[in-house]
Amino acid sequence: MEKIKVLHSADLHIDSPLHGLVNYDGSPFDDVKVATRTAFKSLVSVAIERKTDLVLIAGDLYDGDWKDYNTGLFVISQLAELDANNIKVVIVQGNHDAESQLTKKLRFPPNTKLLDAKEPDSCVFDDLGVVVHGQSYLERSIKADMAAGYPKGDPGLINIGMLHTCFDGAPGHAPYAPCNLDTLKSKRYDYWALGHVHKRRIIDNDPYIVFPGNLCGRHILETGPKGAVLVTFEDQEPFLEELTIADVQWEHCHIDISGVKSFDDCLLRCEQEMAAVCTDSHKTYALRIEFTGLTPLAGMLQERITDLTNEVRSASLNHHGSQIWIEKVKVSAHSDATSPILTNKDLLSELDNIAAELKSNLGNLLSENEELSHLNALRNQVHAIGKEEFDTFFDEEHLLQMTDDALTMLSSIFNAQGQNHEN
Amino acid sequence: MKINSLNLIAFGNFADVSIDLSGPGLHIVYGPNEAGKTTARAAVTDLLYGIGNRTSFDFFHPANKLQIGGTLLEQNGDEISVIRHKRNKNNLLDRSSDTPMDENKWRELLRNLSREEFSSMFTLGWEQLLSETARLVERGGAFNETVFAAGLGIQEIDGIIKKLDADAAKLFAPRASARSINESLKKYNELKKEIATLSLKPSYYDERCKQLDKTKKQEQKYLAEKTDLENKKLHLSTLRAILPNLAKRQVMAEKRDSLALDNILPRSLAQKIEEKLNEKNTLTGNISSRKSEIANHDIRLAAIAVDEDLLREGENIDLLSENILAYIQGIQDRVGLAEKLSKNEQKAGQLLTAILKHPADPEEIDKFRIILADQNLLTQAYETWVSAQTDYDTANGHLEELEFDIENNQEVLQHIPEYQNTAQLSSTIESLLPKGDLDALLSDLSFRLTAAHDAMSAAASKLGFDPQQCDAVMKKPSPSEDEIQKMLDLIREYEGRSFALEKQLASAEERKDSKELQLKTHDEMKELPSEEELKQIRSLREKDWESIKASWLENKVVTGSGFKYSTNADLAEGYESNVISADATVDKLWEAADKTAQRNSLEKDLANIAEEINTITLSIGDNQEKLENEFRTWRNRWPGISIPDSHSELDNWKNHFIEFCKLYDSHSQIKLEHRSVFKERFRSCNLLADILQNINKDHITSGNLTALILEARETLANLKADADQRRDCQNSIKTLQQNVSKVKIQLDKADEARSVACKRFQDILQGYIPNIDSVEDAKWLLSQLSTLSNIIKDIDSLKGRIGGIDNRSHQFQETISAITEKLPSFTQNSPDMTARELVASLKTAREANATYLAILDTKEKAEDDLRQFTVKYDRCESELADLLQNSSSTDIENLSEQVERSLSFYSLDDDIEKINDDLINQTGGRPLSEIDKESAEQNIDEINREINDVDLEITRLGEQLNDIQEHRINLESEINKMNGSGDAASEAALAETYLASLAEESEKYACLLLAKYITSEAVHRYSAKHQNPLLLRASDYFREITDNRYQQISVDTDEKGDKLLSAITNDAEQKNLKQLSDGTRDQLYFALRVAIIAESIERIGDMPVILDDVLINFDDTRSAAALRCLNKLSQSTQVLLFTHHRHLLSLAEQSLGSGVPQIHELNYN
Repeated sequence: MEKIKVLHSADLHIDSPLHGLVNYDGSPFDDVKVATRTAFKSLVSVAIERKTDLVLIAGDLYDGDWKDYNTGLFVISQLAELDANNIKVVIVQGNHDAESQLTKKLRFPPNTKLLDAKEPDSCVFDDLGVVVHGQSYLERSIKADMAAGYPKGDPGLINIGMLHTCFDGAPGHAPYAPCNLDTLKSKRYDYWALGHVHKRRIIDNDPYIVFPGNLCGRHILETGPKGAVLVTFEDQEPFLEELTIADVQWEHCHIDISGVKSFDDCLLRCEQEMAAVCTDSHKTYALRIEFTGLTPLAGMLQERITDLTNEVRSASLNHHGSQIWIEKVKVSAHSDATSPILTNKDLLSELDNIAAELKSNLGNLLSENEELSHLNALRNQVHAIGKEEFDTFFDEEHLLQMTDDALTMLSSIFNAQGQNHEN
Repeated sequence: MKINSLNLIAFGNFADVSIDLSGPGLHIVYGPNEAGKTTARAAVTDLLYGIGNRTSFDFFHPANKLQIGGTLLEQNGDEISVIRHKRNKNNLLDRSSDTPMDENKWRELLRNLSREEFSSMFTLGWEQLLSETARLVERGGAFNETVFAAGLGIQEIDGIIKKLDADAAKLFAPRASARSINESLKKYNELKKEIATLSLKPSYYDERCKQLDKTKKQEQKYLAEKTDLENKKLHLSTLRAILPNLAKRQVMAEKRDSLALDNILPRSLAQKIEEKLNEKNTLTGNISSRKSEIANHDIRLAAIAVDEDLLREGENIDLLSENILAYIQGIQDRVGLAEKLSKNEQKAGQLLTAILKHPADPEEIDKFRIILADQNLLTQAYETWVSAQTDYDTANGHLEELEFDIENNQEVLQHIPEYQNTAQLSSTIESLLPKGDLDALLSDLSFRLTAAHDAMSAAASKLGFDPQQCDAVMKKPSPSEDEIQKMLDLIREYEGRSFALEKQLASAEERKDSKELQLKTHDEMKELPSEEELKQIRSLREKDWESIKASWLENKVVTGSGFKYSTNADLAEGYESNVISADATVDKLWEAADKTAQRNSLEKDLANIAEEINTITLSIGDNQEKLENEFRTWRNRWPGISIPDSHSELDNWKNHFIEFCKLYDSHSQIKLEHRSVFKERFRSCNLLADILQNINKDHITSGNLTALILEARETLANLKADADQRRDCQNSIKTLQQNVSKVKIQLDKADEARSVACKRFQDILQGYIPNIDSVEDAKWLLSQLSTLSNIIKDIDSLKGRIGGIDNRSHQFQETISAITEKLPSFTQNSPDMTARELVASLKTAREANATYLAILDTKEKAEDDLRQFTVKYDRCESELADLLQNSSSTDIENLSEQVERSLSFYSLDDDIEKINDDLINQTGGRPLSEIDKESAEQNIDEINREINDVDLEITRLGEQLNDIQEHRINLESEINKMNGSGDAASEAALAETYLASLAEESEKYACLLLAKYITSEAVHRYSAKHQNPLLLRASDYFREITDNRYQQISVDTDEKGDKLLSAITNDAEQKNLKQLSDGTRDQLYFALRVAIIAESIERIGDMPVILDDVLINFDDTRSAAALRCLNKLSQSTQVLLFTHHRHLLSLAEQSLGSGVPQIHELNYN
């Protein structure tokens, strides 16, 4: 029997932008501005190169609130290329697709089958001896176990189940179409191609129940290599190969600067870490640099965070050109030294008192105090943007957090001032 | 914390200077200008906080040697002695252990204050006082947090608040546009619009696609209609185009048919006859033209005459023609050549006369021809002779050179001195070389000697000796180390004893105190029972006991004053309580008795102890006296030595003395070594100088051995060079002399060769020419002979040429004579003229002959052509006759007409056929029958009208089609542009970067704003809380300083809410700062600062306060008052006032009382 190759991908979110990257001179913006689109192109190239028989897209081809039909046209062009190479495609819609307007008007090429949303659907490929079962999302929020209604596997064929699900409730993902291991196993399928959870995860290997993760990381919580899973059926026996597809890779670098003596040495450590992480010259890396550890430099670094950020960016440009985009530089290092500038305990306690009052009476102070009222103004302007991620911006919890940050910042400033005097 | 002493070990210009700051009260450190006041003041802070990396106090001591010592007194009474070094690590050492000071402990000692805080809170200079007062006035006396904070070490807060505010302001303002957050917001909103523009709506795309389909269908319909019309138009146009051809064909057919009415020859026959008729015509013309040509040629030939005789002599005349010019030239040349020959013969005669030294006759020329024939031989002989002569001259010159060189060398040799003691000098230098470092050794010893001397002098000073008299002291008898040690042991023994006695004394006094204390307790019990009373109590108890015992025994009830028991149990209880009561009374009595006894005992003990104390006190005195005596006795044994008066100093003295002795020994030792080295060097110097003198060099007086050795080495090198030169000279002379003999032999040989060569030359001349003595003569002769030879050659050549000319002239003339004989018509002129005439006539004859021949040739050719044409004409006639028979014509003339008609017929037939072909082509291959049929009914006007109609229709359709096509192209272009472009996505990515920036900077902004709020609010509240106590305290100081002219410093809030400082006079007048004099303002600020210092001390504990000439602008009265304030402050913390005003010292003594202020004078010198 011939080998059957199935490329399983999910959560492509095509044309959704990368989040949290501040642009600066020398940043690789042009290289990664359409990273999700580039990743889809790469997926198609890989499918052709590896002579894949079938490509599965297990939901969230699009991003929910994205309205540009060009994205759909682009997808069609890529599916057409697969068609030209005689590669079949099966798609189930995820929660984002259900929300998207793009899916409603799009006419797929003949090689592509979109599984039905009203009831579980099956698509048989006689020439391959494969049947794919699945159901698209009819609406964004589906709380029922969709898998329960899937048909039993056909023993004469390779049975693949496609499902966009939170499975048993993955943290950080909307709790849609939950299901459990028993239900999935009970269907007697040969492979379960899941989507929705952005981290690659193999839930079971008898049969294989796999989340391939999203095709391309889009923010700092989606770190590491990203791509798809190539499943090769040989005598109905599946073999898995994890493929890295995305050209962009997010990494969170923790740099321990305990015992480091100077600002320059901190940078040196950072350069070493960057060199260790960014080993693939064909990739672009989006890095968060976080300095950790116990060091007397902590205060100075906190206070000079802008300089530090610029220096880190400059170092990355010097050594790696525009291969690296520094997402953020954070100083989580701390110092055990007390603040030498403020020995005046009365004043210190006043600082704490004011901070406590501020926390307990934030709402009133923000509207009553002239200076703090600017925060209200900023909050209003930011909310007016209408982005979901800004809905909680400057809400009470965030402001309390920032009050603590302000105290930490003051402590850093006092520490740094003290160190300056001592030096 | 207090500084008990400040030791300027090495700092600024100070070395080992100590300032004792342990005393109570105000310390005034006085230093006139240049005395180091500033240095001392800085040293205090540097002692506490370290010497800065860029210190300016390293101008005397090197920076790495700077040291400040100090003793600090902690609040708990502990003393810490430290040394501060100038270095990066471990720069603060604990003097007691010489280990780095514990940092935490030191920080605690400094109240955890940073240098900045300490400077801000506890130091004040007059410049600072003035500038800060001025700042206060500038702000209208605004008593804000900053003024307040300045003295509390939190002045940085103001800067921090400002920076937070400035940083926040850079990020955002609600209605600004040029702040980074505002810009990010603006950019994001712009990009949002851009994304909307770039985005493609699904419904729009769908609608456009449908529109395109519809348009395409419409376009197809129009295209089909247009094609039909165009086909129709084509058909009509074709029809219109063939109508003229059809008409033309009709005319032709009619004409052809009319020709066919007569007899028509077959096409080939007609064509052949036409061909032959044409040929015959042509031949007739040709024959006629040739005949006329031949006749013309005959006429021309008859006109030409040719001179045959002249042509026969042509070759000879050609020969003459060639030689005419040569003949004329030869006649002319011969005259010149004859002249030249004569001159040469004359010249040769003269030359020979010169060689032979007598007039030469022509025969002698011929003799010389023989000599000249062997000229080569003569030249060779001459060259051999010249070569031999050159060899001879060379050998002779060489010999002279050698003799000259020998002479020179001998002269040089006389001038090179010959020295005998080179070796001695060399060996001396060699022997002295190892001692070459004598100078260095001496220098080192000198240095050590000086150092040892300095150290010895310093030690001597410590012992009280005059450093110049060290030798004298050492020569005097002095105690040995053992003896001093013995005395020290004795002193320690006495001191030990004294210590034991003092300990006993202390113990006795302690006991005495204890006893007295006990006795005091006893004294409080003033009334004690007597023995009698005790006896009574005892008897009563006995009595009771008996009575109870009896009652119990008789079981009776006791009444009255006695006991009453109703039951046995009561009885037993009563009994028991009585017994206990009685026992207690007895115990008390016994106790009282014991105490009485104790008091007695205590008094006795006290008496004993008092006696014991007396005895011990005596013993101590006695012991001390004995020790004094012992020491004095011992000291007096060495009257020349200044042993200290006090035995307690002996230990210290001993150390110094031993050190001194060691240094003295060491010094003496070095001195001896120095002397020995010096002697050695001196000896060596002399030795070398002697040698150098002996060899007649300038005497070297330098004491520097190294320089002397160098000089000697140079001299030695010179000597060696001289010796080498002498040797070279002598060798040269020897070599030259050997060469002289060799060269002489060569000279002889060359002389002989020269004679032989001369003879050979003479032999060749055969002795004909006399007086050839030298090579120069021979050379001259050779040159004369060479000239003669050339002249003779010229003579021969000239004679030859003249002979040749004569010969050729003769031949020329003979040729002319021969020709003219045959051509008698030519007359005899000069030969050359005759020759020219012949040549010209020949040329004319030749030309006439050529013309004649050419015409003859053309005529013959024409005759040939005529013959050929005639033959062809005959043949053509014959053929025509045959053709005529095949036709129906009777004669040639009719035949010609018939042929012409037949050919016209065929031509028309051909044309009609061609038109038919054209018609078929024009109609796209339609059969002629169809064409003829259709065209038969057509009218051209009708066709034209129809074509016009179709054209109009086509134009209308074309316009519609263009519109629809344009619409279709636009739609296609529009849809093509909807190609899945990522432009909107790219813009969204860019927008996302602005959102990231917005989020990051908004958080930063919020953080800055909150931090600023917290800080400024905290400082504000803190200041408000501490304001009143501070003002009260400052008012007290201000009142005192202004000698009660002002009562109070007050703070009022103005209409803007600012708090303003003012001063209230003793008559309750309120003055703001501007109304106060400069001095009073300074005093007000001074009072505030002193109050702040006092407040700080209360808050964090005492710290040294350092003031630098702060009273400089105060008059004496106010200075005195300020000093009193500072003295008061010094009761709670150490106050150091640095000043360079001496009068302040007396003022302080006057105002605080003599001896109250601790005065220290600084002086570098």
